[in-house]
Amino acid sequence: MLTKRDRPPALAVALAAVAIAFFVLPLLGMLLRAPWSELGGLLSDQATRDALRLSLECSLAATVLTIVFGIPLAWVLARVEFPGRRLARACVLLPMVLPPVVGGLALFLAFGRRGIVGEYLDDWFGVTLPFTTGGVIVAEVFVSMPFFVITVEAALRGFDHRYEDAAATLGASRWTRFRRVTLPLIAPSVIAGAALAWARALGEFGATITFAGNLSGKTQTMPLAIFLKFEVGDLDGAIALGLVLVAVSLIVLVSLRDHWLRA
Amino acid sequence: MTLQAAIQVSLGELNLDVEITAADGETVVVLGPNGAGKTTLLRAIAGLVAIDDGRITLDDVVLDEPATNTWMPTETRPIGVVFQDYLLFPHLSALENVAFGLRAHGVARSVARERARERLAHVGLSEQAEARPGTLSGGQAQRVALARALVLEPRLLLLDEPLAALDATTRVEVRRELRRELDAFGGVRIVVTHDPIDALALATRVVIIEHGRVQQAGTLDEIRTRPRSRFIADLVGVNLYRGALTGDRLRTADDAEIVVANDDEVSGDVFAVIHPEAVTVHIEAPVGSSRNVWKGTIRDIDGQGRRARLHIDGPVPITAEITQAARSALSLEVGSSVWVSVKATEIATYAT
Repeated sequence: MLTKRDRPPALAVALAAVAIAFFVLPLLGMLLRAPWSELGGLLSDQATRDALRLSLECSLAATVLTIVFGIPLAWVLARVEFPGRRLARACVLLPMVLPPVVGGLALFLAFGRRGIVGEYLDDWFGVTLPFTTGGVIVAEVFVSMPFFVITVEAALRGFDHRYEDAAATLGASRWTRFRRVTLPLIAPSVIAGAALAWARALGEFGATITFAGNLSGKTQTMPLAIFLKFEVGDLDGAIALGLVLVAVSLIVLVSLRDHWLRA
Repeated sequence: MTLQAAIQVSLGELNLDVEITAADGETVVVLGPNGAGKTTLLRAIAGLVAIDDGRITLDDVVLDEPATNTWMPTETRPIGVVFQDYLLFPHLSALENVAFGLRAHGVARSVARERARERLAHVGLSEQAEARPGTLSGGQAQRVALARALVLEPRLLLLDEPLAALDATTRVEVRRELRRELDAFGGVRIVVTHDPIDALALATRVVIIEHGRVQQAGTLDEIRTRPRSRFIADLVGVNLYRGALTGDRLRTADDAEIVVANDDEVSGDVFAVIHPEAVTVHIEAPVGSSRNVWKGTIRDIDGQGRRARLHIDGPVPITAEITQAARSALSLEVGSSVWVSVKATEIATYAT
């Protein structure tokens, strides 16, 4: 039994209850309003299937790029002393707090046809990013990689370097030490960071629509499709697509419960 | 000498400047208090810390010499290290830990596992081959760490506080085993410890370092009979005094006088050593041949099995070791007033 001393203050409990309701009600609204019987039909039309496929392809590609570039980046930020490291980290983490629309605009100015880099990409390599599927992936990497880098960097900082020392005395080269000791020991954080980045990439809207546009089958991902359906009054279609993303989000959350939900 | 190391490193507060040599078949124990630079010395020999100046050679191969820009990276040095806390890789089984070095040296997986299995069997850990380090006892982890280092057949084995992580009961057993393993390993052994009992059990030669400098080096016997600092005297458990010797009179810094035999006829600034067993404790003022008789008060008593060590304050603070039986016969307690006597012939003097 709770003694008087242990009893939580009533006001805090009441405010917390309101906050919980605030998170539960929207979800409940979607579930109650969902056109369950027509769900199959709503999800099987060509535009919806294209959006779903494009979302999966782009977000997975973005996650792969995030891992390939993010691990070395996290390692450099965690281990290498260089002038401007704090500034570099701030630039990398900025997209986490930057409004995505602004991010899309910035991407356009850098990698657009007239952008500071985009012009040469186009002239020299014939690569065009804006309003292409590649542009969607670039936008997703831009907004999701910081989540991965911050998670992996924290793990590398918390990692006991002496394990690498031990591996070195056993004859392991730098790469072997990283591959066989460091990476396995920080793997839980790498997986969590990748899942977080993937979830963020899957839901990307602002930077995508600004930088890559909203072209069905080419740059129209799920969030864009949902927004479009909602705008034109197709509420059932919007909810059906929304439920798919809710399901994916729940799967990510449940599979990472040991990492985030342990209390 | 197989290993010759002259090491100068500055690391934060620590300013290490030591020379150390070791030959095949020898266990050199580096003994010193925490923060003396023992671990840094080991890390420098292992190549985990680069030295600022000096030279480290093993079998006449230069491992590190800043003056000539010579540097052999850790992974190519023919060394084995047993770290403090052992640092077994927590994500690998005991077997995979032992096989790790062989794999890193390009030995085929199946061969590496077979040799690791033999090593584990050799130290009686066949049953634990598949166990994760987290489930091993301290003594078992130590054996795995040693097996992991020795399976590569290094020329030089470095052990950093190999017994510090163990509790008192397993420690005795593991210490004896470690002694056997070290004797069986033909190369150079260097053990770092802060524990004089470990040093006593393992060393053929002891190097004592304090504040980054070698205070004294020699066999255990030399160090026990002729300690050259208060720290070393406390480690080996003897009374050490320093003072000016004229004839048979030693005047200490506290202005007390000790009568000594002075067989070697030294004079000037000297050390004098009195073994606690040579100190006699009396209830009343003794009448006899002892030239040194002082009155004092018992400040503290340590019990050690059948013996008791009495720390006695007086004009010459001194520790006396007597049997527990004698202690109870005289009803000696902290605070008791006693007389102590020491024969001049029991006091060794030697120049500083």
